[in-house]
Amino acid sequence: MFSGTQMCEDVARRLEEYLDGEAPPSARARIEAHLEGCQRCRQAGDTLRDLRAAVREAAGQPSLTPAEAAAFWPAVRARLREAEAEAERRSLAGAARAVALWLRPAVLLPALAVLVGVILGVSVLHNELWPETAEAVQVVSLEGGASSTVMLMHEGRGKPPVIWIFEDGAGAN
Amino acid sequence: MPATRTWGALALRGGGPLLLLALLAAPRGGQAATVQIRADVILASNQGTGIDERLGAAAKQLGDAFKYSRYELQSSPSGAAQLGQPWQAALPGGRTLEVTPTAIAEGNYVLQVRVLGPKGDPVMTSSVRLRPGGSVFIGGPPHPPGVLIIALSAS
Repeated sequence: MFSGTQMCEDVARRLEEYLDGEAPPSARARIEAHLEGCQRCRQAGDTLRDLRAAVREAAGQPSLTPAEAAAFWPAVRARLREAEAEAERRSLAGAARAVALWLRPAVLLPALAVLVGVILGVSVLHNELWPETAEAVQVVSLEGGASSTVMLMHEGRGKPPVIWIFEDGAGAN
Repeated sequence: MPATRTWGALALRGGGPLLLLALLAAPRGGQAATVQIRADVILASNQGTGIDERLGAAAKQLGDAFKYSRYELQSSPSGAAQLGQPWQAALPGGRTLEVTPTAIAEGNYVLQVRVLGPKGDPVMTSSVRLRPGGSVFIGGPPHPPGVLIIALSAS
């Protein structure tokens, strides 16, 4: 014969077996008699019964068919591609709007004027601040005498031009 | 040209290309209408080697432009000339270098340059536009044991 506490422990061990209907008849009668008189074990049995019912219900939910499972990831990839294409379309549209904005005469002409001014300013500034790199010498005209001929040699930018005089058959260097 | 560098630097710091252009376009009334002229008269030959150290920065330009082995500075006449007034310097062999400033515009000097023979006849006549510090070489007149080269500059 079990004491109260021992009986509670015995019922707790056999509760699942009892709820599954697999407990032997003698044990079943003893458990039912105990549950009748023990509120704590009865609540435990009710809780376990509810939990098992919930698990059975969840397990009974319909799952994806093989065809649906096969189509799942391709569909996800297609949605991603659509999203990327949409983002690209929006980006191109934004660029087109920016170009259209710059091509408006009210914007384009002042912008060109500023650009020309900057180029001109840089050029003048360069020649003023670094005159040695600008063309320093320019031979505007050159002619020989009655008994001489002349030749202009210019090796290039930054190098002084050379005027060479041929007098009475004198040779160059 | 220190004045130009100063204006350019001020404009650069102060901003705007328009201000700079206005400054550069303004007439430079402070500049006297005279030109400082300098002529380095050099004897170039293939007798011996070496470049006269008095030639300074011109030495490299000579070496780049000509193939003589020796460059010797003969004289360095210099002087100031007003617009339209000729400046002359004697050259070896009885020749004469004559330089006449004909215009000063936009920081450039326009010079008429002549080399006259012993009888005063021109053997070369040229019009040259120089920036301050720019130089032009005039060479070829024979002078033993080589030829004369004149480095002409204005400031």
